[in-house]
Amino acid sequence: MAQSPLHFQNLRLAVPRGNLLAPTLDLLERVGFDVGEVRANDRKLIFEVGEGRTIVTTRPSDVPTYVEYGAADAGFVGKDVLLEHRRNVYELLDLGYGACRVVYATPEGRAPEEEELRPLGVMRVASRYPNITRNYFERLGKQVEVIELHGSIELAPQVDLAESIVDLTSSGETLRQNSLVERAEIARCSARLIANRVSHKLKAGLIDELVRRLEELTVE
Amino acid sequence: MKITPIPPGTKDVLPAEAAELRHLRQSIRDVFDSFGYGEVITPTLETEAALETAGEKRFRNSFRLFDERGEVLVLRPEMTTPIARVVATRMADREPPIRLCYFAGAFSPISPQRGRQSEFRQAGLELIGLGEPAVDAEVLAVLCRALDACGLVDYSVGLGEASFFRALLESAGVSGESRDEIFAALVERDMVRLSAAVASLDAAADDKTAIMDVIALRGGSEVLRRAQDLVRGPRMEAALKRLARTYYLVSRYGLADRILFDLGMFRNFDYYTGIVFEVYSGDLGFPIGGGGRYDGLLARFGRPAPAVGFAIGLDRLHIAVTGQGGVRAAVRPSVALIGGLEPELDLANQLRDSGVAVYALPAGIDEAAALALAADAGSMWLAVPAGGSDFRLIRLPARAQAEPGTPGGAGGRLGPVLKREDLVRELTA
Repeated sequence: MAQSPLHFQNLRLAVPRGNLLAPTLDLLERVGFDVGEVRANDRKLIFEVGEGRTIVTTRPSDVPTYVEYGAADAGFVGKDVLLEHRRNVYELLDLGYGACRVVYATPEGRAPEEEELRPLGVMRVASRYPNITRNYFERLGKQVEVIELHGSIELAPQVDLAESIVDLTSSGETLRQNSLVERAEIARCSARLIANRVSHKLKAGLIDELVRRLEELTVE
Repeated sequence: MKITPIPPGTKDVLPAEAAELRHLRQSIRDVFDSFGYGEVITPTLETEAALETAGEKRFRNSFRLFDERGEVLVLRPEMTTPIARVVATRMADREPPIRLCYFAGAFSPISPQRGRQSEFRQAGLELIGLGEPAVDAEVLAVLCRALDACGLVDYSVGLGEASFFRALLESAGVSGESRDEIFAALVERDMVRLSAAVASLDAAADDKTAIMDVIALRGGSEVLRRAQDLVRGPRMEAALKRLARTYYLVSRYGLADRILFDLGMFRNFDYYTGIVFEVYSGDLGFPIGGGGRYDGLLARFGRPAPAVGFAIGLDRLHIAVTGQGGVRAAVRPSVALIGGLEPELDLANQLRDSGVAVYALPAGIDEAAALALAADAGSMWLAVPAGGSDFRLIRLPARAQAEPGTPGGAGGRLGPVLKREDLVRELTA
């Protein structure tokens, strides 16, 4: 059944560029947003989509920042980003897509934290998620040196930059290609709808309606 | 130029900003005065023991230092605890109600990118000793009137009731770990985690629905009606009645339009026992202030008493007011007087005695430089000696007063020439 168009006056949404862009736009289209221009133009950053509604496209890890400061009322972002940055925002809905896991992985063979590291006492972990990594090992009571990288984390153990990594995986293929073995799952992640603290109150009707419509679609 | 940094999360306030903050403070103070709230000034440093008495986990994250005996001192993270201490000790035999207010800085270390200051200026009040809705209504009315007096136009006060939700959990038989998990999810504002926690509860299906419904319940006065359907048991009934009564009394102050009900508002569970509220303003992504009823705190200091209060973040209020027409400070006549140090010292004093602010400039200063200095100082006029007892009076453009260093094109503009004795009359007119 066709959805009637929504009337989201004065609502600004932050949408991440990258993997989550296409499924997010699909979803927004189905709740009545005209996202044609967002799809077509990958240089523009801010789009008027009618009736005072605006979409801004940002780097994925910046979405919670825009929303926390109220530069966007609501946004779409991976749970991994929320766990890493711990912004003060409402996390309203698990949208289901963009499913992946944050895992702890080490090279094939014996786990390195055992014998080999005894003389040194500290294991090096490469990750683009320094906070998630630190929290995880703190909970386990293990002391690690976190080496922050911004891409190709799998390379680190192969060039002896680190003994292990903490990274995202969906199929596990990249890990296998680089002779890495998953040792533990740290978190399960998927795309989330988040909202600004004040917008959640002052634009309660609009936000609740958006949540309700998205919920209907993601439950299907 | 040598740059000497200041600690992260702090800032220097220069005269133009300080003048506006002072005006905001004064506007708020006038309203607090009109309700009879007496100001208290407490030490910036408290003993760690005093803060531990409050039993607040969040205080663990505070600036600490040692005194010369090795005792741990804490830079106060807020003002409510010091006031509870004062009321229980210095005012122990004072009959309630006790109405106190404060204008003070508070401190809390922050990670830099959070859009928060580690030293923040607050204006707030506490009303101690009475627990009825009429008292809650007064406090909400003082809050709104203070914001109105500051020139804030577009704002709402989100209003919730902490005991309503607590009573619901109780009646649904939620306790122990599952209750902790629900509170933890609410503190994180993580509704995904919350709905998972609620779904896994060992409770009746309609209790679970009611829990989720209460959290989402916010809006206008219709919320009170909708909440009525969720009432289970006398404690929820009583909490809702209190809230409705408070709202009725707030409407008697003419402020019903400001209230936005929000039964899902959670500010610090262990602390608030009744109403909770936050101030929201249009474009600002953070609450400007907030507060609530905390009937348990005073007992920890040995003097059990109900209490309610709020704090306004002055820096955030300043941002919001600036975005809504700016701070409208009362204008006092002011003049920059060339030669006001000498030889026109007598004239400068005569003007000051008549209520005109005089910014004295050295004699013989270049007129363009004098205009720039007068603008920096926020003077309305520049008086230039024009031979004998004559003075040329130049009006500075209003905008230039706010923008230091730009004479705003006023340079060289000729003003009326006045005699010394007429200058006083002209400026005080």
